[in-house]
Amino acid sequence: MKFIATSIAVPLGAQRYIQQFILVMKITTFLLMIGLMQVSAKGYSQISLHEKNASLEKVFTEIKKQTNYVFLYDEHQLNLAPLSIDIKNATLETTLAKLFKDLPVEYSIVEKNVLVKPKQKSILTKIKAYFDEIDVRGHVVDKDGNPLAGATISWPQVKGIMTTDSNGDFFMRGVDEKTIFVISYVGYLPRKIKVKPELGTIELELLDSKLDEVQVIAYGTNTRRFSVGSAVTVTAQDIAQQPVTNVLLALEGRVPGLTVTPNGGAPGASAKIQIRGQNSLNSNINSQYRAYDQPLFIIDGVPFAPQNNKINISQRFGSNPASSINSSTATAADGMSPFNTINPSDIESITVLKDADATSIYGSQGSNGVILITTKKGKAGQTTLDAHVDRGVNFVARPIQMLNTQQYLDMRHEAIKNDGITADQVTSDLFPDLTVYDQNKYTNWYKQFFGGTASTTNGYATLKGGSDHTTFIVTGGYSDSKYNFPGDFADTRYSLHSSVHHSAFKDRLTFDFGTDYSYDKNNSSGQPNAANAFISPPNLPDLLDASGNLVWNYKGSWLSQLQQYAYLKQTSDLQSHSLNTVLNIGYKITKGLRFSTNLGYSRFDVDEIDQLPTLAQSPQYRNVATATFGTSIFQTISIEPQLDYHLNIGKGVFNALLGGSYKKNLYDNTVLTGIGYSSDALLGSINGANEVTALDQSTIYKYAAAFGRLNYVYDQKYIVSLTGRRDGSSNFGPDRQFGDFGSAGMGWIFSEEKFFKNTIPFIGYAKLSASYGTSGGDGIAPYQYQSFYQPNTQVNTFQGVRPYNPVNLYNPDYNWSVKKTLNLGLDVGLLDNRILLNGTWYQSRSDNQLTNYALPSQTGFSSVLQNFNATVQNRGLEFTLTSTNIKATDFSWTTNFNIAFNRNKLLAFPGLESSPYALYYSIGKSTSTVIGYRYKDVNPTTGLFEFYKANGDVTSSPVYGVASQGGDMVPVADLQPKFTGGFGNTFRYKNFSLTAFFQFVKQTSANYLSAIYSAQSMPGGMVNIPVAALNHWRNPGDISNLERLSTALFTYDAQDAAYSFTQSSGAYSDASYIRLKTLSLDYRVPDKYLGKSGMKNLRVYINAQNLLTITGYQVGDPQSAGSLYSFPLQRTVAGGLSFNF
Amino acid sequence: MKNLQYLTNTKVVAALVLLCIMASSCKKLIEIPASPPSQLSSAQVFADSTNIIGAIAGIYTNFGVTTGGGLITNSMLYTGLSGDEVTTGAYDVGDVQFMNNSLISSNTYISKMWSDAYSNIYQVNACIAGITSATAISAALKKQLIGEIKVVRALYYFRLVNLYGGVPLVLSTDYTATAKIPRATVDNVYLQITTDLTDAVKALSVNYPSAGRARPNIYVAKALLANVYLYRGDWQNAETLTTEVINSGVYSLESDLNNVFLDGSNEAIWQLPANGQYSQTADGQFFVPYSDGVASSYPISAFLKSAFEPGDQRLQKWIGTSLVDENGDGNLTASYYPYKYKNRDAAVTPAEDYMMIRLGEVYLIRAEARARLSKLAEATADENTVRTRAGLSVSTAASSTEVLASIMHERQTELFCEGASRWFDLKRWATIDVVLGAEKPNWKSSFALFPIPVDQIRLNPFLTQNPGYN
Repeated sequence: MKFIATSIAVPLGAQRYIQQFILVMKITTFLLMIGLMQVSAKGYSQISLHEKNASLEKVFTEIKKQTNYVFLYDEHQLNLAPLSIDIKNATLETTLAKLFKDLPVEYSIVEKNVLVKPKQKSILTKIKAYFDEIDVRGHVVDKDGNPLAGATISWPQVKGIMTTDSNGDFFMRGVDEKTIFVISYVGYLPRKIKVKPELGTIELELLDSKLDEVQVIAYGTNTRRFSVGSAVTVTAQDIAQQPVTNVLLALEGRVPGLTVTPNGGAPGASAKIQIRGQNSLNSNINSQYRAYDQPLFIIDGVPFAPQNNKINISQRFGSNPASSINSSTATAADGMSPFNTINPSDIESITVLKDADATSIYGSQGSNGVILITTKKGKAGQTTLDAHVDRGVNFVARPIQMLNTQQYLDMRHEAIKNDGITADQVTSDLFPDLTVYDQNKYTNWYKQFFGGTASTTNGYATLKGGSDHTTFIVTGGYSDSKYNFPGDFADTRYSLHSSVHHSAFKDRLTFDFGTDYSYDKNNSSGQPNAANAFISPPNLPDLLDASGNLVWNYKGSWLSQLQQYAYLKQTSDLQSHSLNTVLNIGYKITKGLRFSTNLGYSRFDVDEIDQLPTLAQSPQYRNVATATFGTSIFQTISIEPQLDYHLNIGKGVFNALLGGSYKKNLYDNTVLTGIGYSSDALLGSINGANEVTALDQSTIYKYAAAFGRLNYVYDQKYIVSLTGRRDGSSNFGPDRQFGDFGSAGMGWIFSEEKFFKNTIPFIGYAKLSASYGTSGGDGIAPYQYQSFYQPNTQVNTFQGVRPYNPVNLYNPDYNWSVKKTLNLGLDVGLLDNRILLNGTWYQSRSDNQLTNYALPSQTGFSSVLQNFNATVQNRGLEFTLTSTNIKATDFSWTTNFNIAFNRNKLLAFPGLESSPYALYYSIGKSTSTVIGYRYKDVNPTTGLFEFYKANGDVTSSPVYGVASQGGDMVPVADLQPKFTGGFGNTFRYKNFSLTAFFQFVKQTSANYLSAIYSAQSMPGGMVNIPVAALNHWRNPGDISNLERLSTALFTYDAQDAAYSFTQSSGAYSDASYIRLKTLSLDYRVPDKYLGKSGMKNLRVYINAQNLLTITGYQVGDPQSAGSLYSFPLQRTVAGGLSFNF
Repeated sequence: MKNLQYLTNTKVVAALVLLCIMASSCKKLIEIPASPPSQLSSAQVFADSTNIIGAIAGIYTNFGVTTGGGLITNSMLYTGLSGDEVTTGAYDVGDVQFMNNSLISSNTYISKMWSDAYSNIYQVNACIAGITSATAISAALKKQLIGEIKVVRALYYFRLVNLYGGVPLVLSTDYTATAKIPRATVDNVYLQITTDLTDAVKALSVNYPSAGRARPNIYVAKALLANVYLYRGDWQNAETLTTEVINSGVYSLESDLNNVFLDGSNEAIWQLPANGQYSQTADGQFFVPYSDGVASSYPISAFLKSAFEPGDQRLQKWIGTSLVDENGDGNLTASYYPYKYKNRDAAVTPAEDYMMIRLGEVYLIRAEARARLSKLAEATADENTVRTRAGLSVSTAASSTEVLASIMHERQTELFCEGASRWFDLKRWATIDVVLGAEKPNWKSSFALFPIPVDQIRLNPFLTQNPGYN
């Protein structure tokens, strides 16, 4: 019995635990000791006491103050009523004698301690007490049956806190049978319950607040209340309201700091995702692809094998918006999306982890943020069958008006006049639209190709249920989205989701097994360039004859280059099979200590067949039936053992996690091309080909790490979180494979402090949090530290020898890139937490950038992989607001709002001025800066675009290069959005529910002029242009923003100026918009109308996506600004119903 | 109060040990094979004689690149369009820029030719370095291999310097050094070309290293060096070297013009197999129409057509004709195209090879050198060797000016659409402004040099643009 200071009362049985606690939390103990020693230093004195109805504790404290004697006692054995004492200048002995005179205690003085304990009871008393006191056992859970670890159990006679263990269990000996327990847990309504030996399962009801919703985080769960990292969750409900087949599109505007850029509106098309800005510099500036950092995607603990990479090898219609006309915004992620294989309704939640505290445990993998997707699980209870079906239509969100025939021909004639082209130069070769085609014919090609409506169908059925120990869910889904394009093209998905949970041996062993399998078939046409549907001359002859055959020649003029319908006959089928399977086995070694292993396998198979039948080829050229067969397999194997340790100690909750991670990613692809089929009918097989060429590629990546996390929450007020990690990656050369990273986070829930509670009662919750951490980057191709040769299989052998070609420059020295992130957050809950506010400030700095450094071709290659010393900073502010404005029985109104401001800046770049990057980056500016010419206007005399030279002069032919290189280029635009966000309102009236969610962006982007003026064509050439571009210079003296028309065939000054224009400030303008992203109306039919059908919860609803857009952006869709001639984004309206049995 | 329990020490220790083992064997966990399955490391390549020959074969295979914009074949086409040999009706703005002399520095073909050249020069440089330090092959073989690929490097720089002017002289694979090399002077580029070819002459023997005449022997080096001397005005050396080639007795003119470009032609001094999988030579792909009744993508110009003298067999055998219904009214008009190479498809026989240099050209080199050396009779004799084979009567030129003019004309009709020689000839004769100024409406003398690709200037700020281009 060597415990206890008067300041903290601790349960008797906890003493051993305390010893352990002391070992772990030495600092706390140390501080405590200092406190005691200070007290002891005061020395002996006479005692004066004047206490009325004071607690024993208070009296002891007072005596200790005056005498320095410390009272040691067990609070729970010493449940005494308040007492009164009045004494003056007495000795300790006198005081104690008087104090304990009528009390059932005995005491003794040992050195400077007063040991107080209950008087030894007589046997009779003991027997009586035995019948009065009972041992109580209970299990505390939430409404879903999940155990609540750390719930507190208190009763009036007890001081301090009893808490449940990590399984939600508690057990207490010797409780008076008349006691009433108060069981409370943060975020839940406290519950009073009269004790009995077996309290069984005690369910706590959730306070209706977002603050305490369970949130999936890295290797565990948390709530917003106790989180010190930055994590935002999008729920199944938010997703269900949106008629999208790709779940990434359901994230648009929902999460502050997360930008989603859809890649055109074709079914199955990809979407780029980025969290808090671009951290790495562009790897290859000569490439049409801009580097684009994307987060790590994890589904149920297993990295999704294809991540967000494009899955197609072939160039497919609609999958690649970057036509040759303008590809400045294209990225390597363009193409078909792997996420199209996931049924959005199988997803329970998506958590976006943004800062170092939240992500650093994923190490290098998570340095650009992490997106955790958690699928739906079964629940104990009656087995139910849910069914859901909807149908919808989609059409172009923002159609474009192109010139009609008269306008087009006027444009062409004007261009010819401007160029001084003589009549004999207007040949049928170069000007078939003026010399051969019907001058009165008009076809609106845009409308022909994109003007229709397409249908979508979506349905799924879920069977779920289970007992206390075993739960399951099985969902079958079907979805079909037609292309809004001529031809019978569609994306069709079949999905099967299943999950089973089982626990055994009194819940010591848990077992979770889940499998998601889906099959998706996307058939479309093989032509990558959507631009043809926009720019074909409006008087182009009919491309199909009366019987539907392709027309190749019109009055001797070949239509080969313009025959878009031929592309529709070049079928391109893409089939993907996605398998994600995860097994988690957990075993509770002892109370608070749990070992578990997450085993996962994710596999994504893609089969592609592109057919180029002879009938789709112009007889002008040699017709060779060709078919291309592509197979790609993405695989990820993930093994993650971990040891969890949970300890409740007094007012503190301590969690430790120690884990290992092993991942192996494999990517293989094979492309077989069959040439020279004797019949188009054989194109489905490689066998019919006269010649076959084969190409394959395979990459391997291995990754292993050990990591740990310590988390301590004290008194539900103070939070400390530490993570550390050692990463190893096979992408680096020998001796450079390992890196150490870590983070530290702290939180202070100051609303729990007494001073705060008393002064500002309407603030129910307020937390300050901070985190800082590092993470490494290894996102590069493997093997680049050595030089390799590859056999060239695209040619025949050279005299029987297979030719080899070198494939890379090598650099043995590259190493981990490093990102350091600081995150500060303030969370406030007002009015019973009905209003929750979050403000976050963050700063991340990435240096030692690992990138393919662009090199001139004279080195033999276009780049080499290396680290370089540039530092990129992203700094920003994010705000969210969720509010329950009205909550009544029949009517409720909730609002949510978020906004994020990210500022990207290049802090350092040694040698920038003399590097090729000088034309792309500028110190102190955003890495999305466009460096180009300052546009002035159109010269009224020459009709040419004019720009400012570096010295302020005006010219139509500015000099390429930045000032330090003798050129005229300066930063002219910043493409990073100024701010992004979303806001939504949900109204519920009786059985009706209405949600309107808006997404908004303030940004500058490439405008439509950047697409229509290009090196390959310009207004006046044989391409159609939008009506908006009609307002151009015509005659000397005209003041206009658009230069004179030119055919760009015989003269090149206009073309030259146009080319400069596309690199000038004139090609960029405001592309801000507010878009009604989601509108959802839902009616729940009262069960009483459903009679005896057995049906329940019948809901009827209409969901709409992209219904309305408010923008000043002139032509095209501001959400895909800069890719004017791409497959347009679609507006979707779907109606459906759901019910269960 | 028993909700708090002791840790079972053994279990904890076991779990910790397990994790420690995992952590310590991390190195093993992330081991991957030494090289990707489809690739060989540089060390593996040069450690094995078969692999070395594979790398050498890669160098020759790169010549035939067409779709990527190979320098060797595409410089023939684009100088033909920029000059007065071929035209195009196809609506390809990149092509039209050459034909109309409205070339801009962002033209993608310009850029691709440049990149393709340096890509193969890299492979040559890498092979020279790799072979030099290789231990798997004999010293004699090393010498011969390095000699033959120096011929390749010389040929690439010869094309580059004539297309773009002085270009960066890259002789190593060290990108830290080569990335910032500025343009060398024209003289220095020629100095390197001469050095490489001279080295090759020393290293190579009369025997071809492999079957046929696919890889250079000493006469290839001598013939190319003679051509360089011709371009540099070293008439004496040009004559000496060409005489050595002609007198070797290894080569003879094919009497039938239709056989000149066939595989195994005895006129060939250096001919590379066309090893495309779908097509044979790039030339056949460019010029031969896809089918009857279709015009060539690149018909010959009216100037070239009218340059042939009446009765010239080359007009019949090396110029193809297709009859095309141009206006869809049933009236057929003739369209002419280069027809030295007659095969489009890989499967067509007899097979044709890429002619890099042939005896016919060597005669004309010597003819011109002799004419410059005032050996008029001998010059005319050489010219007549070529004329007679073409079914023409002997040259009647008498004065030195006439003889030279006659040889120049002979080069136009004999070497059209071969190795960019017409464009290069007009430039070295300094007649380009007169000739093309008369034929091409947009002509400016600055067009004689192609622009340095703008993307390369971006990547290497030490590069400067040619006059007349942005």
